[in-house]
Amino acid sequence: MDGQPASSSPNRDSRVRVLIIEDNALIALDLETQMEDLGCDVVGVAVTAAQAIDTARRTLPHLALVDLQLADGSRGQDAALVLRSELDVACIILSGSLHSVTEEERLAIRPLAMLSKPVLPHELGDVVSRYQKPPRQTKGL
Amino acid sequence: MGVLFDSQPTAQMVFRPDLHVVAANRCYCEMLGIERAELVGKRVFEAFPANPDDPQADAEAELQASADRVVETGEAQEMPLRQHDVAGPDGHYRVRYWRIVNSPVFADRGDPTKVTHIIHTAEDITGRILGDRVHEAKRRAAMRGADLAYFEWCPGSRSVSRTPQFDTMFGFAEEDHANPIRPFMERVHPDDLAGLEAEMERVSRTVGADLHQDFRTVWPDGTTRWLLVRGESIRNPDTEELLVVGMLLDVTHIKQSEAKLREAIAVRDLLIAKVNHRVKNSLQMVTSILNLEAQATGDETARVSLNAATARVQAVAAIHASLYEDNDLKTVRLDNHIGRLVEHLRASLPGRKEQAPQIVLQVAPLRLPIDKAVTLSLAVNELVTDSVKHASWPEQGGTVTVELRREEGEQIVLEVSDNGTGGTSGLLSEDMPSSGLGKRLIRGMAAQLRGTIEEECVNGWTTRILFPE
Repeated sequence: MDGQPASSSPNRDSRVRVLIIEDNALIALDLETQMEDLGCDVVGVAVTAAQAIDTARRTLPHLALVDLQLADGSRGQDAALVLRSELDVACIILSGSLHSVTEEERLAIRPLAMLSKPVLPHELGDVVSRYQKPPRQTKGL
Repeated sequence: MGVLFDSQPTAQMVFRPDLHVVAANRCYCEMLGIERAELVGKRVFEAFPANPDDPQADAEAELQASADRVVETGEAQEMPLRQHDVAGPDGHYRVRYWRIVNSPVFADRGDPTKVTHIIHTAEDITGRILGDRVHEAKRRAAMRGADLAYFEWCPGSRSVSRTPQFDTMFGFAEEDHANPIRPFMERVHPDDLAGLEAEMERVSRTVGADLHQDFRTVWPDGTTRWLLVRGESIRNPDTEELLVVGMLLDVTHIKQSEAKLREAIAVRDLLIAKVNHRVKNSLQMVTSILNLEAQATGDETARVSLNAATARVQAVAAIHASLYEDNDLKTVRLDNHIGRLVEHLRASLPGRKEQAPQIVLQVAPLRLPIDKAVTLSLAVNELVTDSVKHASWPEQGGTVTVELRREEGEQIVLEVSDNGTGGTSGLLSEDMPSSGLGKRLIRGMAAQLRGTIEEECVNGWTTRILFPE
């Protein structure tokens, strides 16, 4: 896999920061590896919605890869809603049951993409490579 | 007098209070099929004796009682509706129903208040009575067969007259209520009351309107039944008032079956969604394992093999990402799916990007059953990979074309062609020891599709798999 780094600068601060929200350890590890190959900085892996929100508040990621059905029965879209509204984190939803996202949730989360599992590496690579992180220190608009 | 009497269009007979016949008009004799001479001078029931087979034939006593009342009161008397069977010329009794009125005749000049004779007017209403009885019997049979209750609801007086089943359906004993409709309305489920009242209001405004509404009734013991009311508003012929006539049907068992069916479908859909989710997640794990293995290995040969394995697994797994996204659970739309697969190949095949051939898609929007789509995916994967790996490309750039189309006779054709040279040794050259897994897979997939392989080498390789739909 010869994915382009999302940011060409080697400076760690300028890399795209990604939070992985996935309760399956193996899939999480694969996603982590793929993100690193793409030149991203993985700030954490969360397995529940609460943990995801908590980690996001501490690490301030740009991007989140969001699975929908999480450990302890919590829902990825609930985490994504908070991430988007509170921290303006862009989400990529990866799931085997995309149809469980309601139209209302989709409009509130404004995901960069909704990818059905099994996700082919290039599909995720394309979306992440196209992502432009917003300039720092400018909150909101 | 005799002429007038004979010309009457109604059947009339005159007898004395002791039931001796004095006269009978033509209409009466014709109606009974009897000669006047057989009648006059005899007692009434000598002329046409009661049917000995009919145990209720105590008509003579009734007639005598009626005659006595006429004599006593000096007023006309209508007799209770009466069956009096009459013997025909062949001696057989025929069923006859009579509406009979006895009127007094005052012919004693010395005592004008004395009833001397009685005019007996008989109307044969057999046809009407039998018709009504047949109608009643049909209605009873229908109501018994279908748990029906019959009713007549008068919106003006807010009353309802009905058969006993009506009360039973609301959980009342038969004698509980007189006619007001209120006690029944009080047992309509609160959630259904407004709807039912609106429907009743609508129907009671227009003659000829159809009443059609289902609602629940809740009994004091908590029993809930579903009832269906159907009816029609008519004008009451007697009072000119609007009347709604209809049936009440207990549809609880139908509603319960519907609910069970809905529940079963919901459970089934939930199970399908769960299984589907699990399959997709498992396939994601398999591809993740292969991704990780390929990433971790340091050995270049092993990495190439793992990448090939990953591509094959993904060709199969990718189908499941396209599955169940629409309502068609049995087939997959191939243009979307093959597009995705080829996109993946383009991104993942080895070699520098600038040297990679262009991959052109010409895939018709066909749908195929899942089994065939999986097999076809693997074939596409192998054919495209084979072209990209083994061909040498002309200077203006290489092109691999993937085409899928339906031909006449329901034949489907997958065609992968390139403009490269060299490399490919041909799938059909069976004399060569099977050259690589890729070729064996292509032959295997073609066989599984019950298809045939064609290939030609003109300005590059073209491989065609033709298979029945």
